[in-house]
Amino acid sequence: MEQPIAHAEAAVDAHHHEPHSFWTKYVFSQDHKVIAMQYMITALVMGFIGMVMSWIFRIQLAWPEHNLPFLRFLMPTNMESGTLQTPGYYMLVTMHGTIMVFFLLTAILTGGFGNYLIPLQVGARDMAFPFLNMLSYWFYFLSCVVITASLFVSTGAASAGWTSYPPLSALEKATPGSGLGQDLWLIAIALFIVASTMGSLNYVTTALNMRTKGMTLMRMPLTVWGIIVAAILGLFAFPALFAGAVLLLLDRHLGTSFFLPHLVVGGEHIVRDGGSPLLWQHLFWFLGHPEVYILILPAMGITSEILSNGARKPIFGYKVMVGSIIAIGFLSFIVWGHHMFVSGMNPWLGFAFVITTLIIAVPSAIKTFNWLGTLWKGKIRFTTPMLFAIGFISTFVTGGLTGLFLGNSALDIPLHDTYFVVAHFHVVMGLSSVFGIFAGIYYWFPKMTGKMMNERWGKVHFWLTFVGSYGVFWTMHYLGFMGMPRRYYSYDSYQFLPPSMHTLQMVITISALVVGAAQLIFTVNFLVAWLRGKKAPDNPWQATTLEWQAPTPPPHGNWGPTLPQVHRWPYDYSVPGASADFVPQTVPVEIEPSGEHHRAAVHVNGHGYTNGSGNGHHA
Amino acid sequence: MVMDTPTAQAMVTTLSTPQQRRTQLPPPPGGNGWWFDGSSDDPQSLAVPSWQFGTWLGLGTLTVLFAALSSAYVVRIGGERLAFALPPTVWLSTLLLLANSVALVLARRALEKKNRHFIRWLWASFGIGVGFLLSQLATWQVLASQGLFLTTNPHSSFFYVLTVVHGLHVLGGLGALLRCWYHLRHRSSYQRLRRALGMTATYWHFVDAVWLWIVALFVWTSL
Repeated sequence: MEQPIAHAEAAVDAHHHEPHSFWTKYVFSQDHKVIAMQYMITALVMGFIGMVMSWIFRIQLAWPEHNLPFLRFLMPTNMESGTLQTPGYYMLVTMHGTIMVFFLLTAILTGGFGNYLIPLQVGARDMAFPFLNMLSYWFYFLSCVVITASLFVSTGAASAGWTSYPPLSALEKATPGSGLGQDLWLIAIALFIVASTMGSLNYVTTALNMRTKGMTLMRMPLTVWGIIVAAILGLFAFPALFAGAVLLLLDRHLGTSFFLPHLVVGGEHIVRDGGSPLLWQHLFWFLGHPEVYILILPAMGITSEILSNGARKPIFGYKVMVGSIIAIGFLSFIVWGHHMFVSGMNPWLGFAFVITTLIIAVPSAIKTFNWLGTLWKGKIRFTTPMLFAIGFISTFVTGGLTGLFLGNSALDIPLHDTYFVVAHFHVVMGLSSVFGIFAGIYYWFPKMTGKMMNERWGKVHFWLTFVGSYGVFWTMHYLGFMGMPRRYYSYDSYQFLPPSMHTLQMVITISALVVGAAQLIFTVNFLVAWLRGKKAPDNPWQATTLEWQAPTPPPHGNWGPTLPQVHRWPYDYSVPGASADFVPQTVPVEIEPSGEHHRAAVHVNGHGYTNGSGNGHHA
Repeated sequence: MVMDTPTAQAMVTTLSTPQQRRTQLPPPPGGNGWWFDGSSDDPQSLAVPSWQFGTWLGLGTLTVLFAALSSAYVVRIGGERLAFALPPTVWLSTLLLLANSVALVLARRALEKKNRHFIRWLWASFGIGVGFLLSQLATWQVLASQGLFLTTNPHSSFFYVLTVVHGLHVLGGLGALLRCWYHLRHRSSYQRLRRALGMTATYWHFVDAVWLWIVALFVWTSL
C-alpha cells in the first residue's frame, strides 16, 4: 500500500518544491533534466579533450620524423623539439582510451540520456532518488577534474594503457606516468565507479518502479530497455574494477604483492613475490567486457527508437528485441576471457570463452535483422537523427563481423596486438556508440532545449563523420592484417613494415582530421542552435513516446498536475485506419477510428505489415 | 525535414471520429502489470517500494565487490593453506554481529507496533556495532603482535583488505543508525522513520552476512 503514497508525495514535492535559486536550479539541481544536461555537457567537453589527444598522436604516427612546432601549442610538455616524445605518446593513447570509454561514452549514454529519458519515457516526475542522482553527477564531475588534473602533474598522466596492466602500472619507475599520474588515474576511476553506481541505482529503480498508469514493461520504449540493462551491467561489473583499483593502489604504495611477481627491473630485484599480473587482467576484464555493452546497449535502444520513427513503421519484433537486449546483457558477463587468449590460459578454458563469445552473435544478429526489417518498405524520412541511426547499423555490422574473427582464439592469437584489434573495437564500440549518441542528440535536442538544430549542417556532419571514420578504420583493418603492431610510437626502423604501410598511416591520419573537423561543425551547430536556433514544436518528429507529449522543454515535475496515462505500446506508426501515421501512447485504444481492437492491429503489423493502408494524413 | 504537425492535432482528429463501432476491451489477463499488457488501471510498479528495491540493488553491487575480492584471494593463494591461526577475537566479532542482527529485527518489530522500546534496540545495535569495531581492532592487534602485517603473505594481505573494507561498511552502518536517530529527534513522519529503519536493518543484515562469509572463507583456507 505504499506506492500510492509515494506517488502522491512525489506529486506534492514536484509542485511545492520547485527550486528557485540559481544554485539549486542549475548547479546542485536534483531535477533529472538538469542533471542530464550537466552530464551531457561535461561528457562532450571530456570527449573533445580525448579527440584532440587522438589528433596529436595520429599526426605523430603519420609523420614520425617531422618536426611540427605548432603542436607545442596543444601540448607544451613532451613536445620540446616539435616532435612528440615517446612518454608523451603513451600518455596520450592511455588518456584517449580512458577518457573516451569512461568519461565520454559511459557518462553520456547512461548519465546523459538515461537521466533525461527514463523519467520522461516512463511517465515519472523525476528519478526515484533525486538526491543520489545529484551526488552521482558531482562525483562524476570530481572524477573528471581528477583525471584532467593528472595531465598537469610533473611526471605526466598515466601511460600504462587504458587497461592499466601491472607491472607497468604498479611500479613507480616503469614509465614516467607511473608516478602520481597513475595514482590519480586509479582515484578518478574509483570516483567514476561510485558516480556510475549511484546513477545506475536510480535508472533501474525508476524504470521498474515509477512507471505511470498503463506503462507495462512490454510497453516501455527500447531506449529505456537498453539503458536499464546497461545500468544493471554497470551495477554488477564495475565493483570488480573497484576492487582491482584498491588492490593496485596497495601494491603501489603499501608494499603488497597482489599483482606483482618477483621481478628484476634494471638489474635490481624488487622486494615483491608471488603476485599475479593476470589477476588484474581478470578483474579488469570482468568489468571491461560488460563495459562495451554498457556503451552499445543504450545506443542500440536509441537507434531502435529513431529507426522506427524515421521509417514510420513499428519496430520489427519488439519482444525479441527486448529478449536480445537481456540476452546480450547476460552473456556479456561470461566472455571476458576472450581478451586474454594470449595470456597463456588453458586452451580448454579459451575454448569455452570462444563459444560464449560467438554466441553473442546470435542476439546481435537478431537485432540487426529486426532493424533491417523495420526499414524494409518504410516511408523513410532521411533526417539527421535517422542518418546517424542507419550509420549505427552500418558500423555495428562491420565492427561486429570482425568481432567474430577475434572471438575465435585461433584467429585472435595472430591478430592480437595488431591494428586489426584497434580497428575492431573502435568501429563496434566507439563509432557505433558515437553514432547512437549523435542520433540521440539530434533527435532529443528539440525536447531538451526547445530549439531545432540545423538539418543541413547536421547532414554535412553525418557524411563527413561516416565517410571519414571508414577511411580511418577500414585502412586500419588492412594494416592489422598486414601485421602492423599496435602501441608502436614510431615504426620506420622495422623492416617487416614496408613503406606502403607508412602511406596508409597518412591516409588514416588525414581521415581522422577530417572526422575531427566534422565534430567542430557539430559543436558550432549545437551551440548556435541552443543560443538562437529555430523554435522547436512540441513533437517535431511526430513521435509516439511519452516525452513528446510533455511541454517543450518539460517543466520541473514534467507533467503538470496529472500524470499521463498510457494505453498502447510505443511504436504505433502507420496504424491502418488511423488518421495520422503515428498514434501517441496516451491515446486510448477504444476510440480507434478503425473500430478494430487495437492490439489485434499491432499483431497484424508484426507479421508482414503493408505500409500506407488508410493513412489519410501525411505531412 | 521537419514536420510541424503537433501531437494535439492527431489527438483531436482521433477523438472526434464517430465511435459507433467501438468495441469493448476483453478483461485484462491479471497481474500487477509487472510484465504483460493488461491491467492498465494500477500504477505500474514492483511489489516493493522504491527505497527497498534500491537498497537491494545497491547491496547487489556490494556483493560483487566482496565476491571480486574473495575470488581474487582464492586465485592468488592458489590452494596454499592459511599460514596462521585466526585470533579468537574473530569469534567474538562473529557473535557480536549475530547479536546485532537480532537487535535490529527486534527494533523493526517494535517500531511496527509503535512501541517505544524500539529506541532501546536501536541503541543496542549501535553499541554492538561499536563493540564489533573494537573487537576487530583487537584482532588486528593480535595479528600484528605475531608479526603478521599487510605485506607479510597473501593470506594476511587479503585478511587485512577484506576485514578493513568490511569494517568501513560497518562504519557506514553506524552512520545509518545515527540517521534513524536523527529522524526520531526531528520528529519525522512515522513513514519516514519506518523507511529509514527498514533500509538500515536490511543493510546491516547484509554486512553481517558478509562477515560470516569472510570468516567462512578463512576457515575454509585453513582446512
